Amino acid sequence: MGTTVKKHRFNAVDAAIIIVIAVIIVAAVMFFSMGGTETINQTVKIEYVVEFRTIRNEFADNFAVGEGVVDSVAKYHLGEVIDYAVEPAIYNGNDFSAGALVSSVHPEHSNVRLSVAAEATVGADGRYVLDGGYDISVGTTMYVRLPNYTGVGYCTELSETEGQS
Amino acid sequence: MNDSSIKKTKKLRPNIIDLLIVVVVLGAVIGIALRMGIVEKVITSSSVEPARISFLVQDINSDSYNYFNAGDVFYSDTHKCYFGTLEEKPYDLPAEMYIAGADGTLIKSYSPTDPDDPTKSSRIDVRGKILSSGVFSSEGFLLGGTTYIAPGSKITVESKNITVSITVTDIERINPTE
Repeated sequence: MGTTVKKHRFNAVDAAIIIVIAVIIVAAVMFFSMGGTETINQTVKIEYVVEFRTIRNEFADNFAVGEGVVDSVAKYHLGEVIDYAVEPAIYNGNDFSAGALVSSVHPEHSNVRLSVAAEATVGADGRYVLDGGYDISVGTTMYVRLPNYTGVGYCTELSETEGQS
Repeated sequence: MNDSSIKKTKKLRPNIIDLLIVVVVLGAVIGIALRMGIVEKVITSSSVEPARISFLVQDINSDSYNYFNAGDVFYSDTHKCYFGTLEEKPYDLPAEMYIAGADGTLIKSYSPTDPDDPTKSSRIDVRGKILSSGVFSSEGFLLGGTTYIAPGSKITVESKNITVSITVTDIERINPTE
């Protein structure tokens, strides 16, 4: 009379299961951390200008100081609007009779220039990186969204405002 | 002694493999929930409000105007979600066009009239309003509580009659007294 307790022994199948699970976890960590930009340990304050060109006038009043700027694609936070300017959009055409380029105002369309302040880190390649993964430099095409407008603009100016920390 | 009277008990003890399996399965469930935005939907569904979305459709065939009717339900093909209901028959305008004149300056013009029907333009723009709902957050309007849209958004929407690309021009809260 008595009870029999079968003792579990760690075997090769258990080891294989542990290895497979560990590989899955490592792969998941690597997959979700991919795309980040390697940075050196410098944080700087920058100001940049993103310009929306030739947008309809009915959108020209949809901006305000203090609004957050977010990347439409990967949702990086790109800073805060500190100023904006609305200018008539200019069209460059050809005056064939005079053989010259002629500039004229694009009717009912404007260019909007947003000045944005942000904190950036400096990448290993020296480029500025916003929110841990968004490379920005003059010429970058920016798909952005704000509380009351979304569109495509270009970074046309960029400068550091405060030194490294 | 009868062997059947000997009771064999196998004690079930959780071991490290069981623990790992539980952790991985829990992680997968949580990851899927977050990825599908289930958490966001639960949090934001309580603050969904009615909204009126103004839109512009540019440069379409004038006959297409017949396929916009009050009450038509639109779905966003772009975002794969319900978009809203057309509040009333929208209004149409001759399609606006910008052409360079002989001197190189840009001039605003409009679509010429339809040769078969001089009373209407061959190409039109359509402006209308869609009744919808969403969350007005500090980052913008979330259609249905989950999908960001804003003035400037270009969205393909479809109803039972027509599929068309619209530009959102305005989003406003609907006053409860309306």
